[in-house]
Amino acid sequence: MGKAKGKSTLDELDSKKILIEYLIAGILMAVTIKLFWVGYTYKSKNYSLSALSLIKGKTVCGGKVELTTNVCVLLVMICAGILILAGILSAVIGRKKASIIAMITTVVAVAANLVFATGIGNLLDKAKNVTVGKGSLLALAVSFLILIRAMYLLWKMSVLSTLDFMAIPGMLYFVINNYIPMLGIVIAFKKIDYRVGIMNSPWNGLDNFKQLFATSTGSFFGSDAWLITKNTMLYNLAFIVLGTVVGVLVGICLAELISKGLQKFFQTSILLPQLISYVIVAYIVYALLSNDAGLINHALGEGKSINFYAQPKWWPFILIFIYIWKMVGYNAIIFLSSIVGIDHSIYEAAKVDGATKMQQITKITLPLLKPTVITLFMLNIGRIMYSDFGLFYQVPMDSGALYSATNTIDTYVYRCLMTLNNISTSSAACTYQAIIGFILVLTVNAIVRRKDKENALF
Amino acid sequence: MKFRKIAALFMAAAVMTSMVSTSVVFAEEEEVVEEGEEGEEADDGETAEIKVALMCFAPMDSSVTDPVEEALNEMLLEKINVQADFSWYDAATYGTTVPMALQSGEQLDLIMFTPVPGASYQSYMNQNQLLPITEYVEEFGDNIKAALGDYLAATTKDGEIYGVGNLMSLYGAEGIVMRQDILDELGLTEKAQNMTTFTEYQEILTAVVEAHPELKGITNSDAEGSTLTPQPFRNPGDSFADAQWVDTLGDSFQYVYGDPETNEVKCYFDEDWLASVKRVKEMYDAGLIYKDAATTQDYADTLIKNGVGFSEVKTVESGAEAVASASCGYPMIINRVVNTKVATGAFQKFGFAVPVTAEEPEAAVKLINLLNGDTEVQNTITWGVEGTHWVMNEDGTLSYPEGVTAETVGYHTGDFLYGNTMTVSPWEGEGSDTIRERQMAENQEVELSPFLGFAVDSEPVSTTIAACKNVIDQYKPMLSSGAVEDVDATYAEFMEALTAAGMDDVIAEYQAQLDAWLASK
Repeated sequence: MGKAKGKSTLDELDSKKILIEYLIAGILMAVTIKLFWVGYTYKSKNYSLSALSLIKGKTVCGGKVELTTNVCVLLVMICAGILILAGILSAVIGRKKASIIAMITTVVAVAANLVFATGIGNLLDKAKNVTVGKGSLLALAVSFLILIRAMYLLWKMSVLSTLDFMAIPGMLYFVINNYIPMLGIVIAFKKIDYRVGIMNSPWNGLDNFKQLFATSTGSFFGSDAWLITKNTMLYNLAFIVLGTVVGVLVGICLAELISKGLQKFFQTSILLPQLISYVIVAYIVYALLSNDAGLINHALGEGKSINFYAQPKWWPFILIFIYIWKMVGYNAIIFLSSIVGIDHSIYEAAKVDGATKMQQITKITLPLLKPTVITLFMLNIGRIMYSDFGLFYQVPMDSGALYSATNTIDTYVYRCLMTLNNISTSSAACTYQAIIGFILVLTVNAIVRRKDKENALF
Repeated sequence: MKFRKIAALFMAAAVMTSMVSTSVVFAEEEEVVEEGEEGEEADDGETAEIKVALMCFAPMDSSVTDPVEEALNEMLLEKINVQADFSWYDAATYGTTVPMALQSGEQLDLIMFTPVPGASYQSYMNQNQLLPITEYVEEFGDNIKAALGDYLAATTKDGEIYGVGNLMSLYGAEGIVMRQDILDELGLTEKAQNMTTFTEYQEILTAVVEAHPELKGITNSDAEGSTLTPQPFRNPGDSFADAQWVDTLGDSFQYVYGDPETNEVKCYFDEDWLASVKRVKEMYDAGLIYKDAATTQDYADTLIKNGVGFSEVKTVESGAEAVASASCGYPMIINRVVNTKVATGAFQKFGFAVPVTAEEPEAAVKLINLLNGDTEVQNTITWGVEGTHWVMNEDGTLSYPEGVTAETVGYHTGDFLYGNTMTVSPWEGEGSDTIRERQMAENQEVELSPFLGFAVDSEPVSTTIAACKNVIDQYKPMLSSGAVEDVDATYAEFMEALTAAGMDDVIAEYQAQLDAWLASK
């Protein structure tokens, strides 16, 4: 074969050897069907269940627990079968395909086995001392070994590179933390009955969305969904636009400072509000706005005091102001670092040509900041359906009178959950948030891609 | 190369093991489903292990609670052959931790239901999170039946018992709590004790606020801005004799009440409430009410302790003077306006229940039974370990041991939290050697509401209730704290929004339920 140094010899990649390995492993896994996979104690006697009975279904624990076909065990057996097939057919379909099939099926087998092992406690909740049996462990070991073997072979065959292996832990985390929980979306379409558990709860279609879209005026615009969507998106748009504008301005100002010491000082002090928790900010605002001891009401005098916490009309301004105050340091520093990276010779050339400060800023700095601005804008658009819980719940002191101006999707979900203790309705609101956010990201990305292909996210 | 050899060796070994064990497998017994009935007894001799979640007032470190847990487990092993893993949470944490634990499905055998919204009897029942324990109470709940008897109806639904409420002092009243030291200073103590109209109360407040401008008058008794009219009371007239207590029919939100004369379900926020609110507005304008009552997250006790408030109006029990003085930091006197009656809600406030995630419901009910009559266990769980956290005096009351004070004791909760209050030894205090007798006598004399035993089921209208709650959260704090400009206009808006949110449907639904219950009596 004459491949590069360190790569395989003919011997190793002999299809026959691969065939035998996969075949043996597949048969081994299939054999475990007769072995017992679960051991438990019921009424002081020890019992065990084989994989066969787990697949066929059984009534155990004196009739109290009914086992239906266990999907995980079935899956493992199917993978065993596929593995055997792959081994037999490897001569026909080639080593690469066989190994890829082997890798995928063993991943599924390992995952199914692990899910089964962690779930047997719930399966046999009327029994005690539920333990994983030899058969399950054996199948797990074998499939894991074949997984490693297949990955090794693929690496030797240059199908997988070292970089792929480096990416695996990160991808694994991503799959477990971000993709698997997406299954939870079913909660939004079920009526959760804790007596039978979440997976077995009855479906109730779009009922959970009724409260979200319930409207007293007959049109969508009177519903809760419209109110919270409007609030979330408008606030976020204002945050993005104003945040960028103020950030760029402050960044430019910081860049123009001659004294480095002063620059560092201002950078740090503008960044400080970012570090203060919103709970503390809420009380600072309370000190300013409260009826009784508030500074503003004191200044206005007796009789002219404004009850800020009961009048929604002030709050868009207040919240936007507080957000900008908090985030300007962070944004300014990002822009500052971009400005600092601009080549000084351009400025010198401009000065030689007689450009004023204003012209330098508008004609050099701003255009060169464009990529940074667009990237940040795109990243922020992705989060347009999310609101900062601290800002919208803590700062208005959870005041009911201000709901029309401060209720966003996240606070709405929280209040739903805390009032009704009903995860179905809260999940419905979250699903709504996710879907709208998804559509928005795709749309904006498509638009940006049309105008400026370089800067689109994907 | 090497990897291949190792793999091959392992394969061979694995094949051999499996072949050997296959022959061994059939030696173990495969379960045979037995026909016929099986005895209901638990695994004989085996100690049941349960997990218990308790609520307490302040967070307590495990170094404080571990000795208590040990002492309790000793007693439990001996008395009911149960070992328990106790967890103590403060109120706010309890309201978030326990509902989440129930949703996750982990083993949890015994929980409390509390006034905290997420962890209340109503919210558990709406989510079908409680296990019916009728049969266990029948068999193992002698103390429960003796203590509560018919009151168990409050936590029964469709003939099945779902919870065991704590039997506590059933006497309650709407009380006006005032700082005694200020009253003494201004010579108004007698007037305060004897007043029978709200005009007199207003006069006292005016005098106090004039003499002490830093005291802001009445402070809010709850997180929703209730100043003069806490739920479930209304004060429509000037005289205390006109004050009303209403039966909120077991509705944890307290939006409706039952009119005993007409057996009608009505909205709590009706004309009588409006009359009370108008008086609040008058007082607000006169500067007699804390202006931030609707917004502040602090309750009256904290505000009075910090010298901001002078008075509050809330539900009080017997002996509340001592409790109020302790928590407010000043001597307080209480003038009782009108008494409460025993309603279903009284037994749904605090109590124990077995959730659906329980693995040993029998053991859990046995523990509830102990907490309803066994003084030894109850004293330990309420006051701590004997000798370390308390010692018993001759008259049967308990007090701190030598050298221990309220700050250093660590473990100290309340006697109404865990089970039957009557069988917990009282803490020392004025008149506490006879307090249990007095409380039991009061319990005999207290009036029962005609709707006792009925609790509304809010599940069919839960979305409407949530919509109504939004509206009520918007308008009620403002109105009940007086921070509005035009009471009538705002009230009209409030009623309009409430009707639009569907309050009438809620009332109709509850009326149907009430009629059905009355018919079945």
